[in-house]
Parts: sequence; structure tokens; C-alpha cells
Amino acid sequence: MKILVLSLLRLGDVILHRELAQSLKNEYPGAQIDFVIDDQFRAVKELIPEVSKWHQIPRLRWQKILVERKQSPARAKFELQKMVADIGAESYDLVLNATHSRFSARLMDLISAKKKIGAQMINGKVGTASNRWQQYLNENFSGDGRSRFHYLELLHRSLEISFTVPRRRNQKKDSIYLQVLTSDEKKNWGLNRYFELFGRLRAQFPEKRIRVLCSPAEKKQVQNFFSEEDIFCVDLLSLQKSLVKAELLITGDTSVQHLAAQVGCRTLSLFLGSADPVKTAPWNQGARILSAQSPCFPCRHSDPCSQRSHLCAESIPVGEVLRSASRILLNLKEERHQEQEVKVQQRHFFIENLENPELDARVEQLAWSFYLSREPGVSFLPLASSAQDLMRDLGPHFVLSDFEQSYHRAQEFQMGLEEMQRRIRLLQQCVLQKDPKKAFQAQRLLVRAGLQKLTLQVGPLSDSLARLNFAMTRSPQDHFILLKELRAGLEQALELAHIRLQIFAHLQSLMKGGQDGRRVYELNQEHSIET
Amino acid sequence: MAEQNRISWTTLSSGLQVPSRDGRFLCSQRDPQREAQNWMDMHRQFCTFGDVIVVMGLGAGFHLDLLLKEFSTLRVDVIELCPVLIESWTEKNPDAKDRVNFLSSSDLSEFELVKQKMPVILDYRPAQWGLEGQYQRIFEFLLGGDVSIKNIAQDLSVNDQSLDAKTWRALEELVQ
Repeated sequence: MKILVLSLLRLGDVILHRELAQSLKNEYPGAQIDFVIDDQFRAVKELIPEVSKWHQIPRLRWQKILVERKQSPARAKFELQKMVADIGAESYDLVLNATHSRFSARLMDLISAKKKIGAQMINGKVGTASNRWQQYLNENFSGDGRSRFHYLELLHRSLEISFTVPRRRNQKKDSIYLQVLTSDEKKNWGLNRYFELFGRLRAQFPEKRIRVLCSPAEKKQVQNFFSEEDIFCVDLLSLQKSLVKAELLITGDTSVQHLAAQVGCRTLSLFLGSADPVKTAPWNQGARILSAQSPCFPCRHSDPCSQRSHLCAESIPVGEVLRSASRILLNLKEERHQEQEVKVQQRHFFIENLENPELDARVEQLAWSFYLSREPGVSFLPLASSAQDLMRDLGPHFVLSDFEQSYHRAQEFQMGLEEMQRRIRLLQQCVLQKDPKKAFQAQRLLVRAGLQKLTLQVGPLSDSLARLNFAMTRSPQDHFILLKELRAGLEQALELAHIRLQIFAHLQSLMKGGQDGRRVYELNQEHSIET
Repeated sequence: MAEQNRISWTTLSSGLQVPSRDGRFLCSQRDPQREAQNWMDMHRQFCTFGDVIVVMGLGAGFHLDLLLKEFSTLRVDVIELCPVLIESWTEKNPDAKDRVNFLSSSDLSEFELVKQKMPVILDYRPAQWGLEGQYQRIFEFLLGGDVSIKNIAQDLSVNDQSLDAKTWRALEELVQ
């Protein structure tokens, strides 16, 4: 079997796509996996041995040909067609688009293969046949959207590839690496803080070798704080080899954290600025994270920092990073304890400085997961068992009243949506009966007000409502289309709200069965020990 | 005498000879070698884009000297509408004649063969002074008309699902 993966994003993403190649190898043993990448990032070729053949797109060159007009645009067309013909000659059984961009969707259109999965052009828009996960990926990873799922989870699910988050641990204790800069100023913790951490780590672990990682472009800046002998400035392949033997990497949200996770080096990542651990935590069971505690975190990727000082970095003291690093370095015995914490988080990573898991966010993630995976026509969802798992994972953090409050909020929200559905039906009737303009406007205002209220009310479900709300701010030429969109959106929101309410109902009854969260947690613990 | 041949030569204090047309210099009169170096720095990246390189405008030819020196296996088509300048440069560089093909006709059909090879076109504007219109016509002919990718994509019919149409649409996404 021959499989082609379009991986046309940036360096870090292509490195992450190695996980995809590994999952494909597991799912299709013996298959040949080939990648299409942007030739600017050809350095990754040596890092991903699972890939047999690399097709490189000279994106930058084509852009220059098309923009700078030094050569006929026919040259770019000729080259692209040649590349497509070369790819076609490989007769791929399966082509997967792991890139959610318009260019990659157009490329999918051009490539012939027995089966294609992933974003393609549908009626002039980037779309997908029926996969809700793909739609979610497109909507939440193309811009500054927030996501409830890790990028790789979304990618696997949207491309219909089964996966497990691996558990990789190297047993080497060669060095501790600090990667002190990221490509984004907002994500930097600060060289002065890393300098202090370096000194304190060295004092606490005098027998360990501590090295400061940087790229050649960053070296001058890093030299202002660290001596030449402590600086480790190498290419990606050498770095990968070094990380195989490393004991710990302390870093920001960088591609190096993924490189480390892939070779089993333990990581402690500082997520600051726009870095969102839910989206891009290292793909390794038990990855440790310290996330910023400032109210503006995480901010939008494209916006500059809005604060006078870098609150994100200030919210993580050096002592806290040292404590977390020490626990990792010293406490191999505590691994079991750590795993328990990971379970409480119900994620593959553990945010060290997050005190309590957020109930609503966790339920929301579960509800979305059911909603996105739901096959058309399937009515039964195994909500009860998932609610029980969730209850066990939440542990002793909640009491009955928390669940009751959340249940009531969810119920109120669902009723609000139903009311909104009624209003939209009225609005549609106005349009159909060609009511006077004033009646239409009045109905329209009611709908908008209702949507705004719901958006404020629901918190976690606000994304989909915000989209509906935005639709109402437009001045549509064709009201039918707008209302159709609104109704479709509302139906989706209702489906989601229904799932959510059911989960809360299950949680509530489970909680009533015990006396409080602690009791249920303990009962479940006893049960799991007995089994 | 044809307009393009009204060339006079000036010897600079550095000893270099530079041409002018109707009193206007066809390269820098202060430091032509530095100017050629700047041109080279600007165009170096494009020299690896294709197999066929066209230089539009010769002037004193210092930029061509650098180009041939830096890319020692490169073959170049040079479009220079003034035969006097071609003669002068060829006399000074007898060894380079195998690597440089001069084209000096203003008849567009003469450029058909070059056009088909979709060359990389490197403009040297100072040497085009006084004949800009003619050079522009040749430039646009070689590029396949004064078309931008936006115009090409806009002209495609929505229903056109041919390979060419799909390819142009894909390329248009790269410059959004």
C-alpha cells in the first residue's frame, strides 16, 4: 500500500506529523509512507525515518515567480503540473491532507489517488465530505481559534487514523537541556530567568551536565547570559541524537519539545503568550507543563502582548520551575503518583500549576467528542460509562452542588436554544410572507438579542453561538440563505447541548449515588482495585 | 545613425570606460562596479530558478561580468538593442562568446524561441535608457503578456475544471 501525506505547514508541524507517519505504519504495516513538504523545511527529512519518499514544493520560489515577475507565471504552472504528474505516477492508494490550507485543498484537487481524505475544495470552499472532526480542525486551527482537543488528536480523528498517545521514556541521564528562546517573543520566559534557573539547577544537581540550547541565529543573544562552554548550538539532526540521551528538556512551546517527546526525553514546557497546551502539548504520556497564570493567557496568536510587562512570564517564578524540574529529576519513584495526577487531568499531559480541573471545560470536551464522532442516524451514545470515567478522573474535587449548578446552567441554555429556534421559525415566516420591513426588523432584533444573551450565558459553548451571532450582523442579500445557515447552526448547537445536558444528568445521578465527589472517587478506586 | 547607436564613451577617474546615450549614462558614472555588485546581490537568488537566463540591457556590461564569474557554467541570453555596446563588450571578453548569446532585434518574432523556454528575466534598467518602450515590449512578450496571476485566475470560468484551470487556482492561493 502506498500512502501520501500532504504536510505543508511549518517546521514544528512537520515534526509533529511524524506521529502521523508512525500511526500510519501501525495501522497499515508494510505500507510505504511518502510526504509532500515545503522545500524550506527539507531539514526535517532526516528526522523522520518512517517516510520513504519526499516530494518538495518550492513554495517560496513559485511565490517569487508569481509576484516579482522575473519569469513567466507559466514556469510555475509547468513545474506544479510536473510535480502533480510525478505524484500521479506513484499511484497512491491513499492521500491524506494533514494541512488545513486552501493551497493544500487545491493540491488535493489536482492529485489523483484511489482514496483521498482531508480538506479538499468543495464548491470553491475548503471543506470535507462529512467528517465533523475535519470541520472542527479547519475552524479551530486555521486562525486564532481555541480548541478543546490536541492538534494531533484532531488530525488523527479527522483523517480517520486510529491512535494512542505513546508513552516514551529513555533511560539515559546524560544532560539537562534548557531551550531558552522561542520564535515568538510572547512565548519567551526570559533569558534572565533561565540564567537564574541554570545557576540554581547547577547548585542543586552539581553532578549533572546542564546545557543551553539555541539556534545559530539566537546564539549572539544567548551569549550575553551564558558562557560558550554551556551553549549547545547544533543542527536539528544532531539535536535529535543528543535528546535521545538527555534526561530532561526545559523549554517553551517550541518544535524542539516535540522532537524531545518523540525520542523519549522528558519535557517540562512553559506555556506562555498564545501557546495553548490543549492544542500543542508534547505528544507523550506524562508530559509536564507549567502554564501562565495571567488573566490574559492564552492570548491571540497574531496580536502583540497587550500588557505593560510580560505578565505571563512573571506568573511563573523561577522557584516553581526549579521545583517541577527537581521532582522530575529526583522522583522516579513518584512516577505512579504522577500518573495518577495525569489521570485526574484526563489528558496525556499534566499542567503542574493548575489546582483544580475545570468541571465545565471537561464536560464540554467530552460533549464535543461525542458530538464530533457521532455517525449520522446513530442515536445511542455511551454517555453513562463515559460520565462514570469522567467522575473517576475528576476525583474528589467536586461536591453535588457543583454538578447541580452546572446541570441547571446547561438546562437553561438548552431551553434558550429552543426558544431561539422558535424565533427563527417566526423570522422565516416573515420572510416567506414578505411581511413589512418593520416586522422583519423587529424579529431580527429579537433573534440577535437572544443570541447575545445565550452567548454570554453559556461560556464554554460560546464559540458556535458567536458564529451564529456574527451571521446576524451581516446584511444579507438573501435572507433565506442566512436563516438556513442560522437554523443549521442552531440544530448543531442543540445537538451538542443535548449531549452536554445528558452528561451532567449522569454525573448528577452518580454523585447522588455517593455522597460527594470524594466518596464516589473512593468507591471507584476501591472498585478498580477489586477488579 | 539609428537612435540606439548614438553612444559616446567617457573615461572615469578610476580608468573605467562607461557609455552614455544622448548625454545620459547607461550605468553608474560614480562607481559602476559597485552598482553592478548591487545588481548582482539583488538578482542572485533568481539565477537558480531556471535553466535559461535573459539579461535585459548590457550598458558597460559590468553586471554581466559578475554574473558569468559567479555562475561559471551559466549560459546567458543578453538582449541589447545597441550593437555598438555588444561589439565593445565582445572585444573586451573574447573568451565569453560561447556562454553569451546576444539578441539585438526589436522584432518580437526573433524572441519566440527564447520565450518558449520560459526564461528567468533579469532587468538591467540603466542600460535601457531612451529605449524603455522597446525593452518593455520585449519583456512583456517574454513573460507571455502583461498578466498577473490574479488576472489569470480571474479570467477563468467558474465551471472550468481543466488541469490548467485547477493549477492556476492552486498557484493563486500562494499569493493570497
